[in-house]
Amino acid sequence: MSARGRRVAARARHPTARQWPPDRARLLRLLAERAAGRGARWPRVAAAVIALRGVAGDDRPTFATRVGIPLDQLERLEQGSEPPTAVPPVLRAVRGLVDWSWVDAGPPADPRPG
Amino acid sequence: MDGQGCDGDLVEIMARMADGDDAAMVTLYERYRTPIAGAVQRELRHRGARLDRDEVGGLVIDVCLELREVAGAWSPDGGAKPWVWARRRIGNVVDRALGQHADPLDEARLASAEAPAPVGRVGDRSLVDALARVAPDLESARLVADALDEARISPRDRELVLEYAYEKQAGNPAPATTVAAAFGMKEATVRQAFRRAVQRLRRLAAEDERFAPLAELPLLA
Repeated sequence: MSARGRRVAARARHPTARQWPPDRARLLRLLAERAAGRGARWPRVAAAVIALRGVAGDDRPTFATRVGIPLDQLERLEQGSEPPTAVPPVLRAVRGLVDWSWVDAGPPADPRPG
Repeated sequence: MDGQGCDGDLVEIMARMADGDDAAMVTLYERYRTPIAGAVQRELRHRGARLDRDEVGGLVIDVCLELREVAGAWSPDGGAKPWVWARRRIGNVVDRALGQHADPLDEARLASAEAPAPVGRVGDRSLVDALARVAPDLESARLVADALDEARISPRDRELVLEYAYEKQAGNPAPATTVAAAFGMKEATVRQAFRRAVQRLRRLAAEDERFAPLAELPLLA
């Protein structure tokens, strides 16, 4: 191995080169709790869509354009006012970031009194 | 990120968090969880505590949530990354977690114990510890603070110098690694900033009689 190759390999082994592993399941649960706290009917749907937009690093208009859905539909999904069946296939096609079976299994929250 | 000030990406994320966008908090987590984990581990180390990686992972998420709450008060102009700027908040998150892991109080032992000596607020601990370690008495601590002013060390570099010196004095064999993770900087940049600041302080100690005692302090050792 060349000296440069050894340097690259050494840097890759160094602790600071390693990324902290993500715990997206925990993050999703937190987002769902927050959505439920805001009165979302479908908090897991809200959590999943917010998480995907967060991973993309987009604001809402950019993300709506990226996935090809109207902005108001994205807003309804993030508010948790749409059921899992309303999640567009383009979002469901994203694998490895969201456990869609967890989203689908989420019961609707009771409507807030009042 | 080069560690010199804050990049536009981070500024935009913090602005969106300040607007109440939870997705921006996810973005912060996705892009900056490694230095945030470094900040959490540093607070744990300062408290002499250890948690397993899963528990630290949970704290990283809690810190992102905490940063979301205070995002509106952060400004990139100070030059400190949000997780450095909000160090006391992170310390509070860590203290809450450690409190959950603490043994339940033994009421009988508590009743028979002497009144405990007063201690400083836990949230103030790291910087106070750092200053106390590198300048062991109050007069020296004042002298260091004045010298940092006189030498025109930037606010970020002041924190960096004190943290670096603290880690070094605490016996950490790789202080630059620890400080780099906490400040979101490259190790080489940390070493360079520390060396530059210490050189300025040494020069000040040599040229100004008022600051001559600095040369005897662990900070410049």
